[in-house]
Amino acid sequence: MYAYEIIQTAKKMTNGKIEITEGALYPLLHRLEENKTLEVEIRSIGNRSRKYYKLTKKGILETKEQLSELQEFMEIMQVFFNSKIKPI
Amino acid sequence: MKQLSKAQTDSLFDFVKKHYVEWYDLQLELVDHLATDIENIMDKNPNINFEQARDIAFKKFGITGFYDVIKAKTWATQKHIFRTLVKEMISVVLSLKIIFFVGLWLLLYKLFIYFPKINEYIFFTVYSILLFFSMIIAIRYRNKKIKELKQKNKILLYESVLFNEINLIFIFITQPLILWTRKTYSSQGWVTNNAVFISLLITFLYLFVYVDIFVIPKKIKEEHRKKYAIFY
Repeated sequence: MYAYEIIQTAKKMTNGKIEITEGALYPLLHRLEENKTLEVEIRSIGNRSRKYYKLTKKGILETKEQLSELQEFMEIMQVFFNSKIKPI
Repeated sequence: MKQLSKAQTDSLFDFVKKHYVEWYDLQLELVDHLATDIENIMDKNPNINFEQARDIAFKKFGITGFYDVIKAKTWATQKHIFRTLVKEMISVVLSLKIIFFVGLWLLLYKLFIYFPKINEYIFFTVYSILLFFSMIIAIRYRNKKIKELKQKNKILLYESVLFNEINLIFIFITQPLILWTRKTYSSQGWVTNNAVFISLLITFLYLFVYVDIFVIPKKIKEEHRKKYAIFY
């Protein structure tokens, strides 16, 4: 995916509830590229070039770990919110 | 969707250059981003012209414009070059080349121990001149590389970081090193520990310069060639 596509996809998937700004996304992408979480590929699109980002093997593993941590955190939060503790 | 013309894409390159994006690799990414957004904006609102759409697209980068993008990319590049530098210095230490540097260390140590005893004044004059001369060579090398970069039409960010910043370490460390060496020498002669440490420090400095000048530019360029084959 290229950066503009990431912004548009996030917007579309969340019905506009999540809007990633350009100023926030690019620094993040460049940091992840340096960490070797992402790898890049440049392709020619018409009269210009486009930079595509892709998860590396390390990136895929990290994503799985982060998602499972997030899932765990959400389950814990669910326990808190669903508990029927009477207010003092 | 109608694609932007070559002239419009070229004008976007001028636009990002005007907004302090001097490096071709970063220009390429930002121009494509702006162009895609402009095409979408113009597609949804046919009454808007190219310049208006460009300004709307640019505003999305926030009040600082491309500054945050430049800052983050420069930081990531500096970090990458520094990591590669440390890795390459370790690989020199683990290779046969280390024999040369150990030899240099022992030679410097012997010189530090025996030479000042013969004539302290001559020793410090020669020592200062040699280090100062090395510094001049480093400055001239840096200036030459910067001049070469300025003549190039397309400067890549890694080249700018590599030749503008990394070489400065050697230039800045030379003078304090000369002063510090003079300070640690007492009238009774050298304390052996000081001689060991200073000769080791100078050897390390030359190891750094060797890796910085001869190994790193080649290594980073190779990596860049693989990653951005389209530039070459």
